[in-house]
Amino acid sequence: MIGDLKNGTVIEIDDINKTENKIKKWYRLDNAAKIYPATATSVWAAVFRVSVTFKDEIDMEKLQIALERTAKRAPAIAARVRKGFFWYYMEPLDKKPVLQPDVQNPCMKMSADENEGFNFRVRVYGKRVALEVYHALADGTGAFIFLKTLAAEYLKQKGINIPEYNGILNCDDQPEPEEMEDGHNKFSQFRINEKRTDKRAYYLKGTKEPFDEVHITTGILPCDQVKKRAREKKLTITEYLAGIYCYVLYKIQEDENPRRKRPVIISLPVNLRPYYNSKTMRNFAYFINAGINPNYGDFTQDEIFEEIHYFFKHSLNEKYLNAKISKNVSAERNPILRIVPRSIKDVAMNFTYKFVGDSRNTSTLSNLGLADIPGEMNDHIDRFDFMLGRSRFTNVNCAVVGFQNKLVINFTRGIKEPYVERAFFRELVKRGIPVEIESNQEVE
Amino acid sequence: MSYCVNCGVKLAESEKSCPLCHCPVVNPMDSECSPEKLEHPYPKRRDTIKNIIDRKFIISVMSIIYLLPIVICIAVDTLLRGRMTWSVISTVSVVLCWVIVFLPYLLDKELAMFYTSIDLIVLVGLFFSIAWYVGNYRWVWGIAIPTAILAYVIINVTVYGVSRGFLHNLYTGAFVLGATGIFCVILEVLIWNYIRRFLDPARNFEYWSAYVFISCIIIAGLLCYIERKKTLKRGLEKRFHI
Repeated sequence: MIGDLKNGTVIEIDDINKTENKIKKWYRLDNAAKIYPATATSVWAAVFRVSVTFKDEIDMEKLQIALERTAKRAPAIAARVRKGFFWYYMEPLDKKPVLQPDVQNPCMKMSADENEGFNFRVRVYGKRVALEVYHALADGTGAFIFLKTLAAEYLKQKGINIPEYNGILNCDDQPEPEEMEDGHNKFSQFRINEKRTDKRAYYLKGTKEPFDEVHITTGILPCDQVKKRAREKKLTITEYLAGIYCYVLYKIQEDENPRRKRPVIISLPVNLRPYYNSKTMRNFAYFINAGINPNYGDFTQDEIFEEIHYFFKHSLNEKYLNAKISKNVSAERNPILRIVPRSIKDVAMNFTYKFVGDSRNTSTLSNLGLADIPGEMNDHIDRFDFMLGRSRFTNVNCAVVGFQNKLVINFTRGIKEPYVERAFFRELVKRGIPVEIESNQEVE
Repeated sequence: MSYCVNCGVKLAESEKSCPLCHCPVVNPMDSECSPEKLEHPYPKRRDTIKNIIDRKFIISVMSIIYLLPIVICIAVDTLLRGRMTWSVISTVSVVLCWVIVFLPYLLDKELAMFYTSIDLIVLVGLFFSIAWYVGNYRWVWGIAIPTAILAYVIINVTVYGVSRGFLHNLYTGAFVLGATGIFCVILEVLIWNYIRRFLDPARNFEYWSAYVFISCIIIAGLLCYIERKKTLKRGLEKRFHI
């Protein structure tokens, strides 16, 4: 409530918001989201997960209230994706999502009748609250804002005062239109449309599991030690982990000794929000492909670190990123493509995804960075987790998030053999970084 | 807390073997661990997904493939003749193929009468498109449509008989053979009638269908006899089983 004391009038903030910040009934899918429903199958969809582990047992009633309030505050996530004739679209839902028990095989495709039709689910197990989101709605950063808000709201329901900063939304406020904006369309400047020229990358082989099977291996590392090792090489944590991951994959290919060596490429999502000061909760990331081509000769670990470091230096600036996203947006704006029925677009996008998209990287490494939360929450939270769902074609993916001194690395695997994460974590141990491992493997 | 002897990583209390190398954890102090410490990071409950074939996607791909000859034929025909002529026939033919092959696959339901009715409608459309192109509709009414309707009736009666249990085992084969014999007789009558009316009034009936009919009836009778004689049927099954 704000008041004009001189005139003695009082205006409800909610009333102002109701008139100024109207949330639409439906939204076009943003540029990055368009690929996800098109490539979804009857048994697979791109789903990822962020979770928070509290220090105390969870009060389910309070968490349910917090979830309902958070869902109302964040229509970007509290929505479902539907089919239009020409495009898919997103429809915020004015319903109440329900908490679900956790499962051994997370990030499975959501059915249309599940959770009141929402394309997200919140799952609880022990002290952990996990948010699984269909990628067509949001990216990791958007989902993380939702999770942090949910955690803050839950603590508020428990009577703990949590101020709203560091990405925490106030559930008493109305959603802001900026949170729903399509960053790709808004910020593409079309100065130059840069084509992707990536070649087919090395493919991690293995015994494929059915799509309802997923192997999760979690490594918990001390953040300070990883940072120290990275600093020694004058690298950031992302560069350091990407460098090690790339080296490990390179060595795996070397051991296989194939007739024709393929480039070892790691796909790294880049959060575009800081470049454009965007507050969107929807997809606003661009995947850059970093790696090495073994056909040039033998690479040492330090050479790979250098390759990754300078690739990051070169690629991560507004101008280059804008050229890349402009290319994608210009394709979407093509008038001929726009009038093609969705089912035909789906087929074309499927082929593109398989032969030009996923085949261009060996694996994905997604780093959400260090979780920024208000200091008042620190005493109540043990750790955060970030996990990619099974990819449709690439067999192993990796996601990283840090909180306080815990750096949590989750490997998601769609094949039986754990040789990639084994090599990765052994490499870290070899470098003097202690690793604690847990997994979703069945225990009799 | 245990360490994997192979990997050197610290393993969570819940892990009974190293998730990286499957090396079993042998910890003499294990018995001292309190049960609550052994809580596994994931529950046993699993999400299940029905493994449904993505029919819509397959149909979409195949439809695009089917669409290509239609587009090419229409484009070539229109370019050469300034309007659609023979391309109408090729278009309806492709549609007929699509309807026959993909409609049952798309709907995935046992609706024989519905599918055959749609097939019949499109087939009649094909007859008319050919008749329009050649400028002669008499054969459509005189031969094509009656033949198509006759085939439609035979197929649906057979399906109905099988679904209701009137026809089973060798009786089904006998019925189909008998119906084929009758079909050939009626077809010859239709053709003879058409030729006599429009082409050659002096044309005699040739009785070729009689050979087919008699052969079909003999084999159909034989099948019925075998079906009735169980011992004979079992003996034949034993000798000729595949």
